[in-house]
Amino acid sequence: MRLLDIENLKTTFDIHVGQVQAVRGVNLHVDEGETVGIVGESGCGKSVSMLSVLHLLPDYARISADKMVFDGTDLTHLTPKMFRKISGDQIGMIFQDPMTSLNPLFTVGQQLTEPLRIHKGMSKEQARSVVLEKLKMVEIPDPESRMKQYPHELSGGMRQRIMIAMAIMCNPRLIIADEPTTALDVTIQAQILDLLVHLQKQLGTAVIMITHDLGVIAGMCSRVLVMYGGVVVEEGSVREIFYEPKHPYTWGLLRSIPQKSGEKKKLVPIPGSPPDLIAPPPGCPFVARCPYAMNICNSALPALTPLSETHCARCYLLDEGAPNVTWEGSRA
Amino acid sequence: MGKYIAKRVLSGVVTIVILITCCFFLMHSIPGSPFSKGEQGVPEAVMQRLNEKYGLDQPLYKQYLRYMENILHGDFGISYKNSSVQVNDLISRGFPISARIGLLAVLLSVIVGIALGIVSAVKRGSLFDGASMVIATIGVCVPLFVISVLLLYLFAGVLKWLPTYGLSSWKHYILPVVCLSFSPIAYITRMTRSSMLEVMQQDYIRTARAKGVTEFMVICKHGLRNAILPVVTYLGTLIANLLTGSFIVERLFAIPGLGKYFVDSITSRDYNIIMGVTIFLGIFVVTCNLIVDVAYGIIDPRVKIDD
Repeated sequence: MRLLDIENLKTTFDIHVGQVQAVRGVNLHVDEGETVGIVGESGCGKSVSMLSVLHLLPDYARISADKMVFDGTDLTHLTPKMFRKISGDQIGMIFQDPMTSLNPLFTVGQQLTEPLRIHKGMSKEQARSVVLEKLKMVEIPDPESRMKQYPHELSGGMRQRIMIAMAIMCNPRLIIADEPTTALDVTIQAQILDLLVHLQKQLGTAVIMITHDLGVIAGMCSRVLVMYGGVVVEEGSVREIFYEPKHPYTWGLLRSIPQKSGEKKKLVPIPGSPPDLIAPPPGCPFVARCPYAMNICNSALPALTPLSETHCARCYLLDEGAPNVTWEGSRA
Repeated sequence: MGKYIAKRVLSGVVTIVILITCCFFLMHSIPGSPFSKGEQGVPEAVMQRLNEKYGLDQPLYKQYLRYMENILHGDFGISYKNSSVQVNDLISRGFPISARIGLLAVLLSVIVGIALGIVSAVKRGSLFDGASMVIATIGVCVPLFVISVLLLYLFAGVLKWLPTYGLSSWKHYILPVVCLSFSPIAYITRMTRSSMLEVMQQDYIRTARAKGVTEFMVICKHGLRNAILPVVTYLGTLIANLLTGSFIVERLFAIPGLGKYFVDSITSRDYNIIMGVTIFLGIFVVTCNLIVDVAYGIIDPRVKIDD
């Protein structure tokens, strides 16, 4: 069953030098219990598209969508007051930086009980027992004394566990995790990912995982969207993206993953930098960095070409008349 | 906490001793004395007798030591101009009056300043924001005596809504309190606005919104508590300044507070009053700062005030 269904999401920011077109027509759907990954480099619009869904962007952001439905509720026409009933209750959010995402002046307990008191109308004591239970679920040792502590007294990994506990506090249907491991040490990253995978299985919650780390996608997700320059350039199951990628940008991403086995190879970076989204190129956003770019790539944005029931990519190379360029990845 | 306070009290005592010493010697370096030859032309012999009586003929260091000894006994001495007036009495009579007006002014400044600051920050770029920033800038720039005279002229002189001097009814308090609050309101408004704007950009505000917290609570609970920290710092000085009386306002509205004596005593070289009032103000400022620092530690748990 479709839990979240978004069609043609566009987000722009009005700033003094012009209009930043951060998200340019993104389609996304998440089924119940499914884990979907959104991958792409910084500034490709992955976070902004999710913050648009959650109404968490500053007021100079303009958001439009042909369709934005969560669990049968049309999100496009909700007043802020109606949306607040969903946010934090049905949808939980985990942010990138646990160092700054917790309010420094309130204890962990005060911050964790807040969603329960707002959405479930619980008393302090009721909320406290639920919080203790959730803190145990995110494997925080000695939860009783942690509740009395302030964020600055906890380590980064511990704070991210607190953020995860906050996201699952009201048993949400959907968790949106925005680069939940980026700000953490590598060892802690693995622990947090394990925890997320474990919780997802235990609770059966749908998860949208925003990341620029394909390793995270491989370990967690069933379906992947690859974003670049504010558009989805390729979408498919994890298998399809890792073993049969069709878009040169996905190829580039896969080539830049370090391999731990096999012959020693240099990591291949993608040369150049992402396009300026104040004046995005009329054609494919990747054209300036694509080794296979053709003349037509500059003219108009290619359409998403369906390749299988789940797989599609946005590239002129998939056209019948295009030169035959294939992925020679070393993953297999 | 107890150790911290003890430490601060001790350093406060040192501060006060330094203050007394500096003030004492600076004061005596001003030409003239309480009994210098004025226009009245007091005879030389009378002056000599007076100086002897009050010990002013002794070497300065002896006078200093004797003064310190008296202070330790809590005795600030008598006024040289009117020997029936004890400096202790003068302070205990003047301070409550100054403090009452000052406290009202502090309350008014904090309530109005923070409220204006929040609304300006939340409605940033609006007409309200623009208007309150213009008023705040005027409040910061225009000196107290100009504001006071203007308000006095307008509300007491032209409109005749409010009395001009004295403190016999609640109406008498309005003008002095408003005059005293004018520039603190401006400062607090600007401070609250800028720190609120900064705080509202923070990630934890986004977290609070994602939790489904109402916008009102996001601003007043998650935002304001963080934004108010710089205002708390400013409060220490503000409370000390306002509660100890303003010379200008007390002069203008004929209020028998502490501020009035401060300047009067200097022009008349009334040594004991100068010293007494200065020491009192010094102790008051040190105490206010200590209270603010302790309060800061309570509001912001990241500030450790253990030892």
